Amino acid sequence: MTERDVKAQLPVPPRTFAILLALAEEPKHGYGLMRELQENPVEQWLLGPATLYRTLKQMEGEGLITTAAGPDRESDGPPRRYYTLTGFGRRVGEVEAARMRGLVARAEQFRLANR
Amino acid sequence: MDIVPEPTGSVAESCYRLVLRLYPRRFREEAERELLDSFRSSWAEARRGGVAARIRLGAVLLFDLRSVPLEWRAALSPSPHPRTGAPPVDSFFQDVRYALRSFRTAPTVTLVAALTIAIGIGATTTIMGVANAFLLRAPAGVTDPGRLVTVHALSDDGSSFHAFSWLDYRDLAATESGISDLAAYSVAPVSLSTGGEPDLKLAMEVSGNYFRTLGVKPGLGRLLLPSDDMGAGGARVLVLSHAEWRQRFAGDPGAVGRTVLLNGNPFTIIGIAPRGFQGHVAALDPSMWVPVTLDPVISNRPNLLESRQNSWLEIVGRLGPSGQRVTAGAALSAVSVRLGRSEGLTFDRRVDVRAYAPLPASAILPAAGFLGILLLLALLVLLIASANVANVLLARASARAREIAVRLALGAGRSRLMRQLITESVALFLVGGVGGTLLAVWATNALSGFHPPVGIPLAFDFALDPRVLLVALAVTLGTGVAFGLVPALQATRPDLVRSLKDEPSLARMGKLRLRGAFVAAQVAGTTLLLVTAGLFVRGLARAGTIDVGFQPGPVYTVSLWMQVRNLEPAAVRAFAGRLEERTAGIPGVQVAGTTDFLPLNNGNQQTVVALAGREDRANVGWFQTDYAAVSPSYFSAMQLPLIRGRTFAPADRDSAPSVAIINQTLAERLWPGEEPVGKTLLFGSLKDGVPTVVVGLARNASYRSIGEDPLPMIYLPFAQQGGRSLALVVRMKPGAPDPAPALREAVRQLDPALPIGQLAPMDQVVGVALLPNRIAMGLALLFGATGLLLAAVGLYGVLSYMVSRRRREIGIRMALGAAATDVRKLVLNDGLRLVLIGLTIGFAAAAGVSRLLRSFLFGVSPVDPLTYGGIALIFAAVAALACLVPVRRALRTEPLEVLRHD
Repeated sequence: MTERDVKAQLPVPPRTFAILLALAEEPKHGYGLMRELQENPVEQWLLGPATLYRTLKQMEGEGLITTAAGPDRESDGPPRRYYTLTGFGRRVGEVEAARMRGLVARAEQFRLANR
Repeated sequence: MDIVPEPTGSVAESCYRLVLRLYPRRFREEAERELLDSFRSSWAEARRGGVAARIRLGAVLLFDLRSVPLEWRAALSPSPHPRTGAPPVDSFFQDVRYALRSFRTAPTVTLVAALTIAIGIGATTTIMGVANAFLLRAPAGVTDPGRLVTVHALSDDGSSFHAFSWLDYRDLAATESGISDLAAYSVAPVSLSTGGEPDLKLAMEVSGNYFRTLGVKPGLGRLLLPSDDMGAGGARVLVLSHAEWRQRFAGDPGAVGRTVLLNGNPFTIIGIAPRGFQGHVAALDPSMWVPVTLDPVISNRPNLLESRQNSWLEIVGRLGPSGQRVTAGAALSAVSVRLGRSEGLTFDRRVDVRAYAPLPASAILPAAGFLGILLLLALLVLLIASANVANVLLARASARAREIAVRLALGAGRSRLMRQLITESVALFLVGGVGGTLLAVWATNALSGFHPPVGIPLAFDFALDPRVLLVALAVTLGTGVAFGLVPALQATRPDLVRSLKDEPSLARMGKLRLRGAFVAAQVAGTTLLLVTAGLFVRGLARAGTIDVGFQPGPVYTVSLWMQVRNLEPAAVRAFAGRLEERTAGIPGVQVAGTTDFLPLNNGNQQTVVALAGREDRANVGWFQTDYAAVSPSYFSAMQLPLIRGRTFAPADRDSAPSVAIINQTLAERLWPGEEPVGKTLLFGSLKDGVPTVVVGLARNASYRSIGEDPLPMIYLPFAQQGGRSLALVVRMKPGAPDPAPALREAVRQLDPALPIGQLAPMDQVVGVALLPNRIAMGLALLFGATGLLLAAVGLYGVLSYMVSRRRREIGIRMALGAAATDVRKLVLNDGLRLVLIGLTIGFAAAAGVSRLLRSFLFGVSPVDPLTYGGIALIFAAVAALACLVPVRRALRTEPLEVLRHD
């Protein structure tokens, strides 16, 4: 993936960015991700399972994340699927964050935001 | 401790599995396991979080459904990785745009369809608005109405509700029952004046904690407080309603502190109620609130505050933080039963604590029944209109069969097309729904301005609140989807080859059958409406011929608000005598009589009579009966015939022995098979009743309502027992001029301060009793006519379509020598079959439903053959009319042309 591919992802849709942030700390399974998004102190996302699943599939298709079977299991079923940030995904997150920081700096300059 | 995992087959999970069925299979197979896993974890957590968490999860899952159309689009789209950036609403708006465009191509059809829906939705919404105002809506200006309760004493069989005496109320209010505040109230007509002519107003007499109980904040000054319950010697204060303040004092804040005359007594205005607060009882429009303990000052009745015998106070209360209706009822019942026993009641007077309702408990059931009937009628209109629209949509779908086939052939998904067709239906219903809501706003406004001619100030407010509008929206959307679904299913049934070749297909024949079914449903619904209308018409006609026992003919009634003058009974009797004398002198008056009870005027008064020597047999010695105190000339003024004995004489005065005239029913109960005239009964009670000689036997008459079962009645001389209320009955000579101005003047000359409650011809008074019947009849007729029109249009549409589809067949038949009558029969058979099916279903439903109307029918049978036969005839005529044009078109078929066409 080149820098150009990274740029092509910008601006990252808010929902996608929220997931990138949630996965930046550690890989998570679907339900954990949902909880994290719902209880994020900055921005709460009320994403239902199907909507979340759909977004994750899309992100996987774009190479932002990968999935793998995790260590834990449901009561008796197969192991849960964990979502992990790819290097590309991490890079997209960083570039998007930098873009946002630039915007915030401009906003402060024009007193749209407090320093 | 082991944690037992919840079984995977929980109800919630099954529900969610059902929801997942909405998604395309490919998505389901791929994601189901993970989604279920997430759901299980979320559900387990929501269960720990209580109700709020569960609601939250429900909301999230509901919102989650927005991804359904995206998945379908992905499933149907050829690209393996569809972009999902397009908002899901896009395709929806596309559908709406498409729907609007297709409406524009057939504006008349669209307009008619929308109009019929508007009528259906408008009628339904209007009646829901009225029902909401009477049965559900919380009163304006009241805090936390959800915790308000009403408290009633129950009769021995628990079937009727009763009020309380002041002393009983005080004991109940002091009971620890989980109710934080119990307030008593009673309604009294009063005269209010600020120096000039007095006006008749409604006062609500309330206990001092009334406003605290309801949680009402003052608009100006202060409201009544518990410290205002000072008894008859307390400060004479009142709170004015906002409307009265605006009207009388033009909203002057200086009105607080001023003095007004209430029934001639000076009262100080201490405050103004907040704007919009009209008390807590629907339809009542009190102008003021007065401490109930001042009742002896305001009314001319004996001091009720020291009596436990007189139950005249209703109770409204507020549940405390931990209060429960059931436990409160039990606690209050215990007190009430004890009090009742000590008052000599022979049964346990239990207390019922029910959730607040805008109407008094005793009125709820009849009101709900009546409104239920009206709502049923309105829903029928909606059903008929919906069937009509479904038919229009079906017709349009067949016209577009080719377009739909082409789109299917080009790979459009069936679900996508169906969604579009349903969107069209829903859009049409929404347009109609908006029109209907406007109609309902207008109708409820008009109804709110209605003042029933009953003589007490009533005010209706049927304004539609969000709850009603929400239900109306739900009904609109629900019918839109339901009635759009069937045509959509039909229209998108793939039969590509035939449709593309523009040939009549099997699907189309199905369509024709479906359209026929819709028409039959319309006929059935219309039949039900018309039967209802017909029965009401017949019932009213029967009511007009029912013998009420007297001659309402050219009789005028004048009811006077004697209560507001606060006179002693002797003074009222003297006044009545003078008024009757003066009235008799008015030109055109044949005879005038006086009474304290006007029959058929929405009320009754009851007393007890007893027979001496029968005390030993429980419940046999005393009889409950209606009573009226009347002047000697009352019987001739009403033309109420005496069967035996004499009428009252001027000599039957206060000082003379007590006499009475009883009707046939009471005579039969007191002395079965014996001659009542000359016998003696005890009037008033068993223990200390007044020995009264029966001097006459009167014919039975109707007293409370037309068509009632015969009720016992005892008449007493006004000069002996009159003195509370006063009404005149004035029989006019034939052809005499309208006596109203002269009657008004006669009253004014004798007492300028006495308000006239009602001045109307007797038949108009009787007419008020039939008002609900007239309303129901009017609505049923209006709805029935609408339904008939729609059914005729529907029938015409189906037959025309049928003829056009069978042109070839008809042509061939004619070429083979079929006569005109054969062709006519062919078309008529089809039309009449639909009507017959509809009529049969409609009659069967009507026979069942009309039993609910029995109380409105005055003895007309719910399966009245005249009504049913008449309606069958009407339908035969309408069906023939609707067939006329299609038949003619069929007859014009040119066999050669049709055959050449192929």
